[in-house]
Amino acid sequence: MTLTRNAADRTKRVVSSSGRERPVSETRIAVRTSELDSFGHVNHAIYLNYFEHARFEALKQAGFPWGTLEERGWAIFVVRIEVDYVAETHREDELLIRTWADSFRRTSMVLEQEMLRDDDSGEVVARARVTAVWIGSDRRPMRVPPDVQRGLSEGTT
Amino acid sequence: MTDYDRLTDLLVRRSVRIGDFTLASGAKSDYYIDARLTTMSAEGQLLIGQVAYGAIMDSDLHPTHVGGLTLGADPISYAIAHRSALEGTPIDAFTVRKRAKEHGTGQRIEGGLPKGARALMIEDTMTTGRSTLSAVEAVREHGADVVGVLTVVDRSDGAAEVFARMGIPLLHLFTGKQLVDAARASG
Repeated sequence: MTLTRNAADRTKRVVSSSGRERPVSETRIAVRTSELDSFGHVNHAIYLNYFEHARFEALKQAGFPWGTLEERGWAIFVVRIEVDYVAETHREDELLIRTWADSFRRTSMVLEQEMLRDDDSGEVVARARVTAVWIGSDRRPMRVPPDVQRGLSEGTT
Repeated sequence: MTDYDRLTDLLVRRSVRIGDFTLASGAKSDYYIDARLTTMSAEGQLLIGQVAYGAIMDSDLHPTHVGGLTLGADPISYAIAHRSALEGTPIDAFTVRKRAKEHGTGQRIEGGLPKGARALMIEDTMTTGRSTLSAVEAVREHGADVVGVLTVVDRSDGAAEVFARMGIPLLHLFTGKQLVDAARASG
């Protein structure tokens, strides 16, 4: 992967691996002082929390808030994450995380995410690719709920 | 930027040439695509694996194996197999020789393709689909089912109709026109 510090585009739709247009969910995060490490920048582990938060926001925007998961006794287990760390972030930085669905299988989905500076530079600071499995109330993999797939594929508007 | 966008850029940068060319079929074309400059590159291996795997997962084909005619299909099939193992849903790869080996076991298919396997045929660039058909026959003679064909670039010169008549779905990651347009746009 080339780690160019290119400015991300900010289109609301992207093209997934299968050539389908997919909606992009956007979440904004401001860095908190407690998230800095001894090197004076946001620790890499914190990025995982940011990305996770943005994924739940994406589900909410797709019409599937966390409360719905809880009501139905469902869970989403991350089974794989790949992250490219591209640039440092610091105290008071404001970040924009873009999340979209790349592909779906019967019980899992691959989401792609990119984190960029929420300013005119739009500099990409990290990218993630996350595979997550849907888990039913019996704690076994379940079919990706059709309404989730629809929400993440077509958007809710 | 998605993996798909990055793969588009890589193909435009490495594989697409605009000009006057004569294709293997004898037809003239105002562009040429040397997919191997992308599929054999390091970044191409990563991106082809991710994008083709995603396209397969988003389809209803559920292949157990991927492969095609050596050598164009090979780097693509192996990249998909690699990615599928990383994602925890292995899809094994195979290679179809242009002709059966004249020594040893004399086989035409390498890599272990079990009878009854659900084979997805792979191509790098497809024009008429004729060369893929010979690989399809070899796989069927071997006793596996052909569930579809996936080509990185579909030059849209009759292949879709050929496979549609045979009831074989054809997936493409890109059309030739799409790449030419992207190449012209990038200057």
